Amino acid sequence: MAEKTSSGTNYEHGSNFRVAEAYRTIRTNLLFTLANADSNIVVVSSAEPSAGKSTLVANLAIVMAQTGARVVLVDADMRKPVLHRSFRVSKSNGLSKVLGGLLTLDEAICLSVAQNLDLIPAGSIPPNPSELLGTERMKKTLATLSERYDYVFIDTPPIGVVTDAMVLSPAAAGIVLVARQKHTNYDDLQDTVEAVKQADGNLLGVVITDVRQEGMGYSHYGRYSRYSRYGRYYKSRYYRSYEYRYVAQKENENG
Amino acid sequence: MREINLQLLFAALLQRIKWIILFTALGGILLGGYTYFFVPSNYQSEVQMYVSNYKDLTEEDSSSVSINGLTASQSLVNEYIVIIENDMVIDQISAELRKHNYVFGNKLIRKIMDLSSVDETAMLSCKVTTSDPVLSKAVCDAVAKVVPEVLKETMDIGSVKVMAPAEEGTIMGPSRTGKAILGAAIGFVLSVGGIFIIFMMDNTVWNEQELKRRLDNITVLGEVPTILDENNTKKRKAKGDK
Repeated sequence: MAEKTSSGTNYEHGSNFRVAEAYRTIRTNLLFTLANADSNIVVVSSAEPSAGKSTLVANLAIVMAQTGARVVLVDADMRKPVLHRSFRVSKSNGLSKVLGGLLTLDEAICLSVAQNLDLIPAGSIPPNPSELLGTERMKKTLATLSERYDYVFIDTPPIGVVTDAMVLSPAAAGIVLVARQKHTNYDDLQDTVEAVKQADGNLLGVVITDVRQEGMGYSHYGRYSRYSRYGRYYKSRYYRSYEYRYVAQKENENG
Repeated sequence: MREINLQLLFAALLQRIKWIILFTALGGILLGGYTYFFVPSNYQSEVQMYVSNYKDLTEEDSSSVSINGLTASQSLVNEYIVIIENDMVIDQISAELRKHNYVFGNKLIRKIMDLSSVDETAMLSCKVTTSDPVLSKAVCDAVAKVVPEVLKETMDIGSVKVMAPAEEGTIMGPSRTGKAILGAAIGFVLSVGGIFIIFMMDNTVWNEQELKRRLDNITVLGEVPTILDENNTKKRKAKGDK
């Protein structure tokens, strides 16, 4: 299970029960939207930078893998890659070298960065990321990943900045847009949604991140507070520390 | 621009309640402090004179005072006021004040002097308001000395009696508490108005309901709360997080 990293916190910390439940809710809703889709590839993007896209796609891939499905997470943001830092893997061998013909796909895959989860980092930053994503080799790579894995999550740059995500959308089941509370502008988000529609892309939905429920029109206690008791129950009932999943993982690793 | 949503607006005001309290307190402190330190207090003295229209009354004549005479005295008070405000009279008041080393121009004397009839009677009231209680009394004394002589000469008045000599001025204001409350009210209105303007100009995403309304019922897969650390404070955005 991913732990705290320097590039953002992956959610599995006992004191963030509400965050964990939020991701599970998003997972469930996403599974509903993917039920009739032809593809098992999900592109995650946003309208503008700093929306929390990478954190969301990493955690979403983790919770999806927790269902027992085989999941691969692809860092297709070859302009500003960060997922290699989240999972503490080398960034040198990755998608850019695969698309440049310098590596095979199997050489680039980082196996088991989390339970049932593999990662393909972005690799070295190339001079032509948009062109690389549009190559035949990328289509074949996606096709191969789609066959091997139950779900493919692709992290892409913001659509409002570059159109890399739109290049991948034809092969994907759809695009998940990330909007950040009190940061993402409605006009920018509307423009991004229009851009997806104009490119005949399928918009799977929007996820709002960094939600502070106090003062945002919610009740004082927030919609998840009544469930936080379950988090404490699990903590005390099964394990003695907050990082109970982390401890369980470590115990599994040690045999 | 954001649509007016009372629930969100109220939530926005509550979220920034500390700023509202701060500006309210600041407004009260600033205006109250300014009034206390920079605005001088006003002191008011008053002298009242009874102006009788009857001349040389003797004890035998006093019984024959008629109601018409009383009415005449009451209605003439306004004429007395006009006479007193004449330059000729004001000059005399100014000269009287110079004897006590007070130098006043006519315009200033008219400004600080307030002449009126007391409850529509034949009583003439002169109130003087200055920033010095002794000065207020001095001007009242000058008026009390000059006016009777002038009225007797000019209007052939029976008698002008000063009811009681003026006392040193009593403080009339400004009310520091009142100014502080006014300042607090101004601070409150400005802060609420500012928050309202910020709210209306804020075009960013707030919650799922508003997002669906603004974007034609778009599918919202979920919301991720702010990630908190062990101290239940928001985690700083780590380097590299997109």
